[in-house]
Amino acid sequence: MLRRFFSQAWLSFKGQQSAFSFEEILLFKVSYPLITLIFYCVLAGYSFRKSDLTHWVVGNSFLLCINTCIFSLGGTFTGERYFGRLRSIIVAPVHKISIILQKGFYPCIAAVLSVMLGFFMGSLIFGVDFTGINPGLFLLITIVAMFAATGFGMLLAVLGLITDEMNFILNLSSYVLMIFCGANFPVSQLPLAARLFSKVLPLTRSIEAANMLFDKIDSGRLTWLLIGEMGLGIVYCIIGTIIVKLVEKSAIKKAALEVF
Amino acid sequence: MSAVIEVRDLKREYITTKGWVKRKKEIIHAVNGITFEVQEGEIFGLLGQNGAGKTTTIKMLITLLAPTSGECKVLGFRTFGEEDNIRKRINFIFGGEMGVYRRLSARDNLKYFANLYHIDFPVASKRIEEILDLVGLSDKADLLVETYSKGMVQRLQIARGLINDPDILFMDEPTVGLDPLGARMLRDIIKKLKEKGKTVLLTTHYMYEADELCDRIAIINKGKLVALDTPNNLKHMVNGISSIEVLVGEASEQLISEIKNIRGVKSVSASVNEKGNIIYIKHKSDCDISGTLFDVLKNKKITSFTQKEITLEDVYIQLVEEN
Repeated sequence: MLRRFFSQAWLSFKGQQSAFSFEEILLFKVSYPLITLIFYCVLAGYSFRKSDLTHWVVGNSFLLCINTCIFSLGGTFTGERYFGRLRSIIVAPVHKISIILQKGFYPCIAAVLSVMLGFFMGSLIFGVDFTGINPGLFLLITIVAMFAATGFGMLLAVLGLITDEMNFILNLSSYVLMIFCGANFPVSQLPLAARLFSKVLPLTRSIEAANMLFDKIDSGRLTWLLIGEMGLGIVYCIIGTIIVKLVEKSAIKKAALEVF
Repeated sequence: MSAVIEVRDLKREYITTKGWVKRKKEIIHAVNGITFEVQEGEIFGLLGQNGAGKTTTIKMLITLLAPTSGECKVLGFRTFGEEDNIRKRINFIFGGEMGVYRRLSARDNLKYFANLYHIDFPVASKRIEEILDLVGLSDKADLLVETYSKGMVQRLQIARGLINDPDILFMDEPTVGLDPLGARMLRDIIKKLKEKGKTVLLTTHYMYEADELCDRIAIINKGKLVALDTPNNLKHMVNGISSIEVLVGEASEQLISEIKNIRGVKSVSASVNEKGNIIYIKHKSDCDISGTLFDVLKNKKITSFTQKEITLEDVYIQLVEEN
């Protein structure tokens, strides 16, 4: 089962990337996150008149990484629909959730690596001090954030079975995360309803936890944040797994899988 | 033999809405109450014009589309509601260049699709080699599909459809885009599948293909079944009708209309090829129209005049026109 998962994941990744050279992939994967990171950090620096941009570097790095994961997972069925392959997937006995995870696996790994690189480069540019950071804890927070993002991306991907407007949905999700998860605006400054909304979004807790590493670590609060983020990821995964069959049925009923 | 496909009073409607303010619903009856059965090991043809409902029927049979009403069973299971029992044992081939990964090789494509069917790795490897050989892609199996010609992509589609060794294979215009050799290869594959006891349901616009391959043929028009029988019996349906093909220098609308007015003529159509204009005339066998026809065609530079046997195409055209 694991062998099949990795085989499918690799073939999917190969199918997406084989047209590009290594240099092109590297340039695209690193330059885009880096430029975006610089943009938001410069914007924050001018808007909030702060010289210490650590919080923005951390928050936006996480956001970029997670956004890439959400887009990779969330767009699973969009490409398949566009190239006429969705029917082969639907008609095959394979579980549709496994397709989402297989297709998202390597792009997510690539996202982590490339954004990490962007993160370190951005940190050098904006002078973020890493000396007091616990690398093990930082990695743990990243993995937990990735898990929650995977669950969120999976849930969005399911919608791809019933709509061909996934680009709109994914872009909307991306901006919602940008506004509400604390990467660019402190959650504490948001209105009450928005603060509550931020709690059901992936990343809010991870960003808070990651920022804590650069300030004073409150172990109890940090553990609670990580458990909360994990729990949220599990909830997203459960909802995605439950609704995928229902959405598939609805799409088959409404003839939404293809243009008929 | 037992029925592996059972379709009874099957209907499928598509609802579209028009307008921004005053939304107007429009219902399209793509399939409008068709009934047929396909026996195990049979090659069954579904013929009809574009938009007749053939593809919609196939999509319902392969569990890709739910019926609006009626019964649609494959291998004894409902295609909507019990699809998990069907999917492992069927596959489909649709014409055209979509549906494969263009940035993977043919071999990688087949590995990918084999994984979708949970086929064991050793079995899949062996089968992939056999299928590549069968469709004549062995020597190009490791090239990216984006470098393939249209015909080669279509051969890969055929290979993809055979990857799970299906009991029933659904083919929607599978020879579209294939050169004559490729089309012959596909017909040979279909015959081999029949020898192995597999069931094939196919749609095609090529009548000679249906005539050569199918045990039985259903003709559908505007979502309704208008005929269902063996190719020979279908040809007997238009007994009493004879066919004439005339090659002339010019075929004006007025000329066609004059021929239509000849007593005993059932239908007239015309087409143009590099030699000139061909006029196809169907007339009652007991009416000798040749004398009157020659009078009408006087001074029209007749290059050839042929009396023809009734073909499946004649039957098809007549049935579709009548309905």
